[in-house]
Formats: sequence, structure tokens, C-alpha cells
Amino acid sequence: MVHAETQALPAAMIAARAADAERSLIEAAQRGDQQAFTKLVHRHDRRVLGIALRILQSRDDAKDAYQEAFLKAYRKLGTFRFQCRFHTWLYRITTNTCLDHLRKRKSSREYGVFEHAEKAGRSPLQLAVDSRPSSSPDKMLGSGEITRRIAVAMERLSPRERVVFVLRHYEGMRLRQIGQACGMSEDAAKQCLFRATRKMRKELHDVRR
Amino acid sequence: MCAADGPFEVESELLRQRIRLYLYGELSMAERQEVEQFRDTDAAFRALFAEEQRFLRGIGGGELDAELDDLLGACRGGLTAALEREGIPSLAGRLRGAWQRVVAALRPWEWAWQPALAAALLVAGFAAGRGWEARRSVGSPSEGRPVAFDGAGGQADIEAVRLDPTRRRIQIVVEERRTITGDPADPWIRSVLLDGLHGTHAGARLTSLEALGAQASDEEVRWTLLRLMLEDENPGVRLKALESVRDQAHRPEVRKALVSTLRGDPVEGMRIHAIQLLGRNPTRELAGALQEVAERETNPFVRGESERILDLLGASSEHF
Repeated sequence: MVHAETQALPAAMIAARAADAERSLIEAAQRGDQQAFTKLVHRHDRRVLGIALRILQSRDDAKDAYQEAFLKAYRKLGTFRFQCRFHTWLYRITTNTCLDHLRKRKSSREYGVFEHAEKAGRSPLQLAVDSRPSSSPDKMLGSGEITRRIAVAMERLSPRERVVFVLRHYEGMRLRQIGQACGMSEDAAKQCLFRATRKMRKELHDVRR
Repeated sequence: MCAADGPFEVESELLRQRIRLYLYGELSMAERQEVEQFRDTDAAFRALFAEEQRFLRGIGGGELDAELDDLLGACRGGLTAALEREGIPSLAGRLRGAWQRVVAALRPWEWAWQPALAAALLVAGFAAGRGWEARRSVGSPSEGRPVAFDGAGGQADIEAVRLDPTRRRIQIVVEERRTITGDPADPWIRSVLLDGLHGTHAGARLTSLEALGAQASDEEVRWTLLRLMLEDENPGVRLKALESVRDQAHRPEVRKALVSTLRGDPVEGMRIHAIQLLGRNPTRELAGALQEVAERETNPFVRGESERILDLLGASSEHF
């Protein structure tokens, strides 16, 4: 019954209803209703975790970033003024948290690559680009090798490039939204994305699906 | 763009950028049609288009779903426990909630209190305006140091206008531009400058850096400068940040950051400055990093300096 009613409604009205429902949840959470906050978490946490996992490429770090991001959101929720979409605000907190993790990680260099190597049961050197003529791109097909190569290539990006690349390429966010989420202009986000894609292309020049 | 790139590569990269924007759905209708027309008529562009499409599809990787499902349960459990430990929500949130309850309670009586409040605000605004005018150039938000605002007042951007026809009320969100003048050492000015370092405009970041450079002995400023030195996208900003911490090179955190710059900054000038600063006070713990640099570094000066410092330290330039 509800389904039929929903189908009959125009898309814009459904979106408006969803926005109203979310606004009520946010306002309830701002008044201290933890259940409302939990509902907000469940609406957005899959994507938050996906972003953290893609950017940090480490399950443990992504788990930490997830918790930190939502705790920050919980503490700062009272300052949210509905001047932007809630998810934009939340992604901004998430990407900043991930950037902090990447900065901390800088002191223990190549962490991500090592962790990937560990997971794959191989030494990091084995993950380095193999430029020998015998190394055929075809061999990579279906072997999970591409995923690992992408992970290694992502390690070559600067933290900000990595964030922009993940938000655009994996999360499908528009450049304007990425700019809002990362605190930069749309044009800066575009240039950052170009740099990131160019580096990725260079690293993965021999990979074909 | 690497130095070896010729005009053809540059043009090809620009075309690829256009194709990527097309594939990401970031072009206007007219621009999309232009790309499509070009793709239909130019074989070389068509090949480039197909290659770019294949590349973006190739790195698509949608294999996260299972991993996400697996991890999400654990994350939610951890967050619930953390929220319970957190307990009471933020003060700002509670104050906001209390304010909303007051507003809701007063709403039925708005016919009475709204005109009174409007009159009171008008009087208060008038009085405050007169007071502000008198204090404008001598106002001191922090510890009596003079900080002045410009008096233009009319420079403002309207960000949003929300009209509530049922209650005949309007809400206007205004972004106002102000000029602040004062001593860079003033804590309040300094906090504005530190905020400026996070901005998107490299020129503004450089000027903020210049103003803050003399305060690198302050811990907060120093850490911010180090962050910029390591992470800013603009090499000019990174270089300026490095120069600003020059006199603090004896501090361990500055030395660690200089080592990171020496190891990883793509700009040779940055690496040259870093090795020069580190070379002023060589210590044994630098040996590992310098051995690595002596092996990998492409710039002869940096490599030579690394070897010279290693000699001074009595360490081998080989990395075992």
C-alpha cells in the first residue's frame, strides 16, 4: 500500500518528503535524541565507511575513521545550521578525518602498500610495477592483481588527490559537491582530479581489463 | 606534466581531460554535443575516447560490497558503545534544543511579543551602531591590542532567501565581507590567518604564511607551517612554509618534517633547502634517511650533500 502510494508520487515530492524526514531526525538529534542520531548514522554510514575504506585502503583505519567521523558529527551536530545538505557536511567530516589518518601515516611510510602486501601474502616488492617484457597484462585478468595494482597506484597520490579521486570515481560525486566536501573550489577539485587521474594512468599504463 | 612531454602529449592530455569530464557527466549539453560530434568525425579522437573509457571502467572496481557488509556490523557495534560512553550530547546541541523549545512555546503569542521584540531590536541596533562607530578604530577584541574593521558595511552577498508565506516571514542568509586590520601577533588576528592557510586561494595562503612566518616559535603556528610544508599542493606555498621554519630546524618535529621533505618532495629546490637545513646540525639518527637519499636522489647537489654529511657522521653511504 505504501509502495503504491510512493509510486504515484512525483520524484520531486518523494525527495522533498525524504528531506523533511531527515531534517526532523537532525533536529531531534540536535535536541539530544540518541535514537534519532542512530537512525541518521544508519542512513549514511555505509557510504561513509566506503569512502574511508577506499581512501585509507585499510580495514582497521577505515573502522577507526568511521567511528571518529561519527563521534565528531555527534559532538558538532548542534552547530549544523542546514546551510548545506547533511550528507555533504558529514562527508566533509569524513574526508577530513581520513586526511588526518593519511597525514599520521606519512611518518610510517608505505603503510598502505605494506598492509596490502600483507593481506595478499606477498612482499611489497612483489607488488611494485613489473616492467619485464614477460609480464603480460593478460596475466592480471581475473587474478585480483588489478585490484592490488590500483591500491599500489593510489599510494602514489597525495592525500588530497586520493580523496578527490575516490569521491569522484568511486562515489560518483559531482565536482561541485567534492569541492564542498573538501573545502576547495570546484575548479581546484577539477585540477586535483586531473592530476590524480594522470598519475593513476601512468602507474597503470600496462593494465587492461 | 613531466619535462619530456612535448606539444602532442600536452594536447592529448587536454583532450583526455575533456573526455573525462564528458564521461563523468560534468559538461553542459552544448559541450557534450561538441565532444560527440568530434568523436563521430575524428578517428584519432574516437580511439582516445575509447581508451579513456576503457581505462576509467578498468579502475572501476566495485568489489567493496562484501567487504563493506562484513565491516559495517563491527563498525556499528563499536560506534554504539562509543556513543554510550560519550553520553550527553554537545552543549551547543542542548542549548539549541532548549532554544527551539522556548520558541515553540512562545509561538502562539507571537502577535504580542513580535512587535515588542522588533521595537527592542531596533532601539538596541541603533544604540549598538552608535557605540560601534565610536569604537571602530580602537576596538580590541583581544587583550587591548587595536584591531579595526572597515566601515563599509554594505558589501554583502546574499547566500539564500527563504520565504515562509504562511507566517509572512523571510529569512535572508547573508555573507558579509569585512576588512580586518591589526597586529599579526594579536591572537585573534593570528587565528584568522591560520584559518586563511586552509583556504583554496594559493595567493592568500602565501600572504598568510608571510604574516605568520615570524611566529614559527609558537607551537600551533609551527605545526601548521609543517603541515603546509609537507602537504600543500602549491610548491611556492611549501617553499615559503619551509623558509618560515628555518630558525626552528633544531626542533625534533621540524627535523622529522625536513627528512620527509628530503625523501619525498617532488621539487628539487625543496629537497635542496631541506638537506641544507638538516646539514647544519647533523645527528646520527639522520644516517638511515641520508643513506636512502644518497642511493635514490637524482639531484647531484642533494646526493653530494647527503654523502658529505654521512662522511661527517662516519657512516657509510651504502644502504644495507
